Amino acid sequence: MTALNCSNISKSYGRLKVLNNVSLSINKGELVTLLGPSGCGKTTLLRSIAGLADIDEGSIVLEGRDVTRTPIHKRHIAMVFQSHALFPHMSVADNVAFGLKMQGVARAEREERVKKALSLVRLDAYVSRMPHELSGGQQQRVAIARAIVTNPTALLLDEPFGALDRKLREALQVELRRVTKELGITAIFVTHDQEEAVVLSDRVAVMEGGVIQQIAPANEVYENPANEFVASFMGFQNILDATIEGVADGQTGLRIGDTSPCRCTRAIGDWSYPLCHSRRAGRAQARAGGRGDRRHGQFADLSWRAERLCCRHFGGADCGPHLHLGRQLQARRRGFCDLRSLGHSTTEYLREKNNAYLIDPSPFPGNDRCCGPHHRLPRNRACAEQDHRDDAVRWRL
Amino acid sequence: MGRILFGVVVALLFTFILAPTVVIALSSFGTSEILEFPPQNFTLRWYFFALAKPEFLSAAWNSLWLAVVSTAIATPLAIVAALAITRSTIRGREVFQTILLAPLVVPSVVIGLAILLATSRIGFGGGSTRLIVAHVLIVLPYLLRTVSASLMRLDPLAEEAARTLGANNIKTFLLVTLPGLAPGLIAGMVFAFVISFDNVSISLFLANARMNTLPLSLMSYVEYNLDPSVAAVSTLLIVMALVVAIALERFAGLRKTLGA
Repeated sequence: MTALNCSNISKSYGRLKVLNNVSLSINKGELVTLLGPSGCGKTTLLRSIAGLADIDEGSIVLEGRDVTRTPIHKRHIAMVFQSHALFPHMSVADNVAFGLKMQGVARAEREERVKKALSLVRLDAYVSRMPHELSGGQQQRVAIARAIVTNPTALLLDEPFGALDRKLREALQVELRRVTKELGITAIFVTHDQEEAVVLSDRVAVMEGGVIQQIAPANEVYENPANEFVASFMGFQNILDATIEGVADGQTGLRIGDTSPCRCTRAIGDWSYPLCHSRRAGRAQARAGGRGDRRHGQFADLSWRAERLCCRHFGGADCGPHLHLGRQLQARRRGFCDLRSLGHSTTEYLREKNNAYLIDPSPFPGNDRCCGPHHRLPRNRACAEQDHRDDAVRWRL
Repeated sequence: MGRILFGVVVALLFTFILAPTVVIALSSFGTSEILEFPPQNFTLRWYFFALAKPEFLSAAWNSLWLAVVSTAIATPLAIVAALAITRSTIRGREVFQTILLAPLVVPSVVIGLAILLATSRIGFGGGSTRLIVAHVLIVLPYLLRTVSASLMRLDPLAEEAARTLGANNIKTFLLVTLPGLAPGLIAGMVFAFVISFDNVSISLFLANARMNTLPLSLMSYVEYNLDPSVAAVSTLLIVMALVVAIALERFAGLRKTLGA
């Protein structure tokens, strides 16, 4: 069932178009992240849904009710802000009870629900504290409790964890996901942090220039970006110019630079392909039988996720999926890569934390051994071989 | 060395500020018919004398009434003006603010005279209405300053949060904005009360026989009499102010209410 349906929303500030014909449909109980760099329109979209910003065109339907012109206080939504925005003169319990009071919920039921909401965010012991007596993380948990207690049709979160330190942020992400799933709350989460988006969401909407560039499950956005912006924003740092040499038997021949042909081999399973997408034709992957227009001579960007890349020593031991790069491109210069991994830390973190609410860890099935972490490759200079002397993966450049 | 010098300067400053008050307070207990310092003997006689004087009592009552009424009128005006100045985006906000704060800069004698001339010209005069209008005018800047200061420190997101949680504009104002303003508002109201209660220069032009204020009646009394009853009344006023200040500090935190 659709909980929220935004259709063709446009909004301008003066001459600047911040939302350009945006449509978004969210199912009941779903957690969707609006992800994008600052100024991409994500916060404006959220505030429009809340009613805090007027839209020029389009309509917003909340659970079958057109709320486009409904004043904020009648939309029955709840919002969590980056600055917790608690009422400083009220105790924790009164803060949480505020929405229920506005709804005219009777005292006994109110107290019951406040207690329940506070125990959901694990703040039972702080009922009578004042907001300024709490730490930043606790304040934000109160803000979440205050928002969920009214059972809103949509919970809107505007970078709520942006001001918190990393550890706290990660803990609260897991907690937020647990709480919304337990209560079946529809939630929209605005962030500019890719990791946060991947960890939290059922679906991620990547925004740029007032347009949703791609909306898909986190894995999909992460693995299979719709266009070059999404690819680079989601951390595909290796993008090489390539030319398609031909398509046959599930293999796409690519030429990198102007010297060497390279073969992208599709090996075990769907997940193990180097990604190619063309600038012109949207999605054209090196996936076997993939859609898209892949004609000989067409330009393509060859990009892949560093941790997914497997390099085989030429003629050496095979370690699963691999990318052969031509011998001609073997570099003249040596260098070692930067060992960081977005994908790994995220999934592993969640795997430890809370088994039940993992995002699917399968994109990274047990090929940790040969798949190195994040690194940068200079454009047009391909990588080469794995060094087996120790566990670290080194790239000869 | 620098610290000693600083200490001396501060001590001198405090002496300068407090010494006259101490002199007044002490001389109010003197037995002599004429104000003297230091007093030879101690008595409470002048307090009873002053409190039994009908002209002082009715003037004190007038002053109290005037201060309460003008503060009560100026307070909502100041809240509305502060909201308009700090929250809205209407044009000419700065001009508006400058005009409202002008009574701080313009000498109050000028204001008093101006109001006297203007009101007699349009035939709106006499009585206490004129006095109230003038007092509202001079206490408004104090309220406006303190209220705007607390409004600026208030997180507008808290109001937005209240709206999303189902509070309409009025409820948001009453339950979120107003309580947030309370410290500044209380401080401003105390200021306003004191400014109005104390005022001589404006009341001088606008008061009449029926509507005499305490400072005015004290002034006219000392013109012909110099007995310690004036000092006794002054001491009572000082004690009153002190009690209010201590209460504020105790219950609201004076420092906090003053925005320090």
